[in-house]
Parts: sequence; C-alpha cells; structure tokens
Amino acid sequence: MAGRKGKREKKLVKLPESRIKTIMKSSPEVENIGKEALFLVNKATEFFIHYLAKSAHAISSNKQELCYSDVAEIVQTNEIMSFIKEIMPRTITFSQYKELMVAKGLPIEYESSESESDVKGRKSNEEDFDYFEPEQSYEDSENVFEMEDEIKESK
Amino acid sequence: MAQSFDDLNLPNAVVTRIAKEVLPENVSIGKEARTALAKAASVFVLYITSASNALATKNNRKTINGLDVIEAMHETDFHMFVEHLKENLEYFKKIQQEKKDAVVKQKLQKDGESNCAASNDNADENDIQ
Repeated sequence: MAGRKGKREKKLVKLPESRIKTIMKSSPEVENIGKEALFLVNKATEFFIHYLAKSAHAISSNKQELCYSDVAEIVQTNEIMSFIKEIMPRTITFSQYKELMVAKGLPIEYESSESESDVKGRKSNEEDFDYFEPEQSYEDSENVFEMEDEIKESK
Repeated sequence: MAQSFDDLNLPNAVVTRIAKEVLPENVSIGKEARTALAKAASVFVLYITSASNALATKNNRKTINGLDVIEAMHETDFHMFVEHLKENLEYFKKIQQEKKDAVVKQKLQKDGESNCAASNDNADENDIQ
C-alpha cells in the first residue's frame, strides 16, 4: 500500500472503513455520513465486539474455548442485546431436532462437517450439537427459531 | 440491487482479532462463535446507524454527524461506550487537523518556491537592461 514508510503509525481503527460504510449505506433512509460519524460507528463496533466476547467468556463453562452457545446465551439473556435476539437462538440437541422434524414431517438435515455419532472434543455423553449454523441464510435461521419456540411450548 | 452476502458482513478474521484483545491469551474461539460475533457486529452497525440517522433527521439534517452517533449510544442503552468514544473522537479530530495543517504547509511551501523562481527570472531581465 502506498504511503507506508519505516515509521509505524498506530492504527486508530481496525475494522475496514469501506465495509462499515457499505453496511451503513444499506440502511434505507440514510443519505450522507460524516467522517466523524463513520469513525465513531467503527470504534463503537469495536467496543461492542469487546463487550460481547468478554461477557460470553465470563459465563462460559469451558474457559479455554469460546463457543457459539456462550455467545447465544448472552444475547438471549442480556436486555441490551435484544436487537440480535432473533438471529442468535440457543442451540438444541440433535435428539430434540429430530423429534421436531419428525413431528413436522420434514426431512432431517445433517451438518456436512459432523455426522450423528461424531462428538469430537465434547465431554458430555449426550448428542449435543450446535445445530444452528449462523452461516445459513436468514430464511433457514427462521426455521431454527421456530424450533426453539416449540421446544419451550412442549416443556 | 443485488449485493453479495459478504458485502454486508464484517470480515471474520478482523472481528476475531478484536475479540481476542479482551480474552486471555490461550483462549480459542470456535468457528461458529466467530461467525456469530461477526454477524452480531454487522447488525450492530445497522442498529446504531438507524438510531443515529433518526436523530439526524429529527434535526432536519441529511448527514449523520458525530453527535448523532454519541446520542444514539445513549438511546440504545450502550452508555458505557460513550466516555471512550468521546476520548477517541478528540484524538481523531486532532489527527484530522494535523493532516489539514500538513497539507496547507506543503501548499505554502510550493507556492513560496514558485514565487522565488519567478522573481529570479525578473531580476535577470532587469540586469540586461
């Protein structure tokens, strides 16, 4: 990149400015974004990541690894995170998922990277999967969210 | 207007790096957790943008400014970020001003150099006469 010389400047922001701007502009009524506003949103997002990661680690049962379920737990229980509650449901066990799919008459889908009996690295005897893949499209995640509701109702 | 899914998501690697800053050194972050953090952060950008824009519009402005964002942090209950954000904003403004001053200084130097050259030429002409 042009401009880099021997002297290393401490970077003021770490997240890519252009991407932040793209996301901001995708918001319907936004017209113009001032330089200071762009900087502050960038910085605030950094703080947000710190906050979420730290909180999730604090409640994690395995202090060596931060898992999806830790992040989901914070999002589901902390009021301030209500804006992402819908897209980050708690995980359910594979047995519960199977039951639900059978009840609904839908096909059971397996994660490509794990098989039913593959529980690498997990200490519990239960078939305990992170069954929600955040990489899925929003439509898929809605189905998983329904599952969560049905589980609650069945209890 | 078709946009690739990736365009509206912050990069996993950078988000993970930022998350690790506040975790003990030996802690690893699972694959799904990384994606979740990146997604959460991306949605956070939208959330704050929406809140900031509403404030700008309320004040009859079409441009979101720094104060809109600060105010939006209060409105969204992220008060704990405000102090640090203000500190960072001051530093940012300072850097921006320094850059501007550097540009002006450079411009003055250039103008100074070209004026010198011009007056030397005039002197030569006078000598001949």
